[in-house]
Amino acid sequence: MSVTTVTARAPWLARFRGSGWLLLLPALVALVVLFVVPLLSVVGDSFTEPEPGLGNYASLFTDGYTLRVLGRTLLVALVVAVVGVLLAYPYAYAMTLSGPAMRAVLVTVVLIPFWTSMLARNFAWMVLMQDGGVIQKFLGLFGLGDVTLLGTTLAVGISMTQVLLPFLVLPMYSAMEQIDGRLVAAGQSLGAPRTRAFRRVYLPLSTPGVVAGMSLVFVLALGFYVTPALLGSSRTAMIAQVINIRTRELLDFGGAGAMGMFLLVVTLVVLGLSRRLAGSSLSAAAAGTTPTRAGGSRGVVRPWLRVHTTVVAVILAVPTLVVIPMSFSSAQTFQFPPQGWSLRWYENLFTSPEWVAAILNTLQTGLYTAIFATILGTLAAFGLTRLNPRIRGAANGFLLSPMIVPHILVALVVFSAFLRLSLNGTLIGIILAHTALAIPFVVIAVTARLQGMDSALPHVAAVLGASPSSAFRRVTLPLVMPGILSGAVLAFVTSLDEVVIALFLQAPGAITLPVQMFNSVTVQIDPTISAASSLMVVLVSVPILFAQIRGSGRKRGKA
Amino acid sequence: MSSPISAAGGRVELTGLVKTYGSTPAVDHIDLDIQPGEFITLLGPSGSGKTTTLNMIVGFTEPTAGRVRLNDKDITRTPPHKRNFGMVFQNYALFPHLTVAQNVAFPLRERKVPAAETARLVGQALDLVDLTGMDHRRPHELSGGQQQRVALARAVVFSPSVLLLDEPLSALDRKLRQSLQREIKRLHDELGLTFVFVTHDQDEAMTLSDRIAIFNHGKIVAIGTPADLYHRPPTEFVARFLGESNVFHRPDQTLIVRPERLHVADSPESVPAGDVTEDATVTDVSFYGTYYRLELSYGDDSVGCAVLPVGAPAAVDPGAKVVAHWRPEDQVLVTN
Repeated sequence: MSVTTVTARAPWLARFRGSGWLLLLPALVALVVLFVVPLLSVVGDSFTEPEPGLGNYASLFTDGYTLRVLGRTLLVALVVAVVGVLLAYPYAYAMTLSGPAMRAVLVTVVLIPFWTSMLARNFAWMVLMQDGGVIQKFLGLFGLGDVTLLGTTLAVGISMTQVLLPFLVLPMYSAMEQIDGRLVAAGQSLGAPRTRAFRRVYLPLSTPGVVAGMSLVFVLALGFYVTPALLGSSRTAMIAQVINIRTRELLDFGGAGAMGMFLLVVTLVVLGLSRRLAGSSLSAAAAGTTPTRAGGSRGVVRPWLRVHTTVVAVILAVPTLVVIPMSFSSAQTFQFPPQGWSLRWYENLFTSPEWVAAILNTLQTGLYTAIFATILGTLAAFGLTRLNPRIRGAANGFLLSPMIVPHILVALVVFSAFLRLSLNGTLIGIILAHTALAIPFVVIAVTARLQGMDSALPHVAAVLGASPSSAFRRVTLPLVMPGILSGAVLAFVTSLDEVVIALFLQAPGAITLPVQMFNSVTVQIDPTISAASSLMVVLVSVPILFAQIRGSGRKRGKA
Repeated sequence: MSSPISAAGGRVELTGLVKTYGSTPAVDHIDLDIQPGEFITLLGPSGSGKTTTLNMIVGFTEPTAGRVRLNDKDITRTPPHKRNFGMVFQNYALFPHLTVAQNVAFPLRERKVPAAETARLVGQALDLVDLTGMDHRRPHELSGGQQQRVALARAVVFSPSVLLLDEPLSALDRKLRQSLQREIKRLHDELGLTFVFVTHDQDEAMTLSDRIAIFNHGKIVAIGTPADLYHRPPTEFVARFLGESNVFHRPDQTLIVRPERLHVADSPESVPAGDVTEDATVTDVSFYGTYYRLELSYGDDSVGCAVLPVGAPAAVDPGAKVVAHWRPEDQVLVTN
């Protein structure tokens, strides 16, 4: 028994016990007010508007148009998840086989899409897939020149797969990292040929990562709005588009609410199932030996795997590689590769009143969101550690819940609530909604740091003469600071890149950069979006890089 | 304040100390009077209450009943940061975000010691543990043994009157453990502080301590000097826990014979007159360089052991039937 185990019953800390709830209170209140109450009222609407009953739900499954939309959405999400796994699994596997330098490159390539705003990536696909675009010309070489991609479900699927690919690679890679490479060799020594050893040993052990990644991507794909709205058409509508129209144009909160609830229920079921599935095989993987990088008998990167990995890397990087040259184009239309070069779109971006206003709005929204979410999330993370473990699980689950609710549903919920509070069309409304979305990221970052910290250290400080407040200031806070900083960065980036809610809450005075970009493609054709996309890459990647450099510096300072 | 690091050892008195969790007592009425400058070891199996007792001394755990006194002052309710104890932890517990010097300076800063004085004391403390010049290293750049030396320096730099050590050597490998044992002993001799040392390692306890308090089931079951407890164990538990023993159960008492007092003979004829005997079978013989160790099994299924000097006349092999014998004055009787 070390001091660590005594933590929970130290009397001089006991008086902080009750303060756990006090610290959690601000975040809990924020989530209840911004999230739970509006959600419940939308649920209420779905049963009462326009008339009481189950009519809205019945029409989900009886109305031919709605049924086709639901079916299409489920099918696209499933195909995206499956194709994504087929692309991502070998890539993640190759990551585990590579040497340190190559692995760094592969990891960076996976992170590039994260640094490239959602809208920018979709915009890049639009450019590539448009009539007369690069892809059509390429297909033309095979005599398929008149195939129209833009506006089809295929275009939506391709773009969504690319956008969601990192969510598949990362969990699979982290599951594979846990696998001792020598196990496959052990399987071979027990008489299984290499491929069978792989199938019977490696594949089952990596299943948790596959299940986790696949279900996450499936769920995210279900609620996707931006990609189908930009690359699809009304004939190929998915749930999110219909929710958008019913909410914002028809003000049919009942019908939209029923669709949103359908989305939420499917999401919860899929995530619940995946947790059970991954959980049971995860414990099997955990029973294995500790992973050893040194274990010499890791597989080799075979030629086919090299080719596959290169192709996936190109797919991951391509939108970013399109967006940046595009922004220097001199053409009035979206042309790739550009025929001539100019800075006119940058000039327009930084001089035209609406673009400048959008940039300032976005920065303002991001900063306030980061400040609010960091304060609430950090307090809550500290509060969580002071609760007893059983309640802690539930409180933690509640704090993280905004992460699993599809953004389109959040948008609908917030839109209907803010409409009543006349917060629609104000930046404050967007800031509040983004804060609710960003709290989980801060809670996760700070909690990870708190858990990684030796919980005995504040006690050690106490024996050495530090009062509780001094121990907090001199030991706990400096050790947790990297978590707080990276939480703040994540909150800022989340707000910066968020389109759907900002789109719902937009009004002439409250247009953020992503909304302006979205409108510049859908409402008018304004190539300034390519300059804006490049700006977004910078706005997103600089804080992340900053956090990573700070983080690695801190990590070196850690035992 | 320009005194060197050292202080008069404090006297720690525990009276009627109880700690219960729910209805189970972790510590059950402990009385212990720790003398100024003494090196006392709390020894016991895990879960015996020794760590809980230490945590009540330092103030991490509040006793259910009883008193803790330091130099006749009641500190039972004093928070840890006002008790002025030094403490060394099993996992070193250095602050990872601070350098070696900053770690050692930590308690001085809390006590508002002026900068120049702090620098002097930190240098002195690092000299004391042979880490001169390591000031600007980070904990993770040090070996386990070096980290524990830093922890020792940090625990004594502010001249506490009592140093508490919670299994400080158990995370280290055997070689390092021995060198740090010597280090700790030297520190005790040089500084004159009271040392309270918690361990489950009996060898460590025997080598270092002035007195050992043996814990079992939340109680102190024996207390005395290492030699006392080894040669005259008051109970079978103590005999078994501290060193090895041959234990013979007689109808109304138990006989204990230490291995080095037990001899083996080929036949009853070669047993010296007056010795107590017991038939035994040799089950294993191992060579330790300076001696042989014999595993013995007795008629009543109990097992024991004996040590034979290398070059002893009788060469024994596993399986041999022998007669174990010892002088009556070498046995210890304990009541059941």
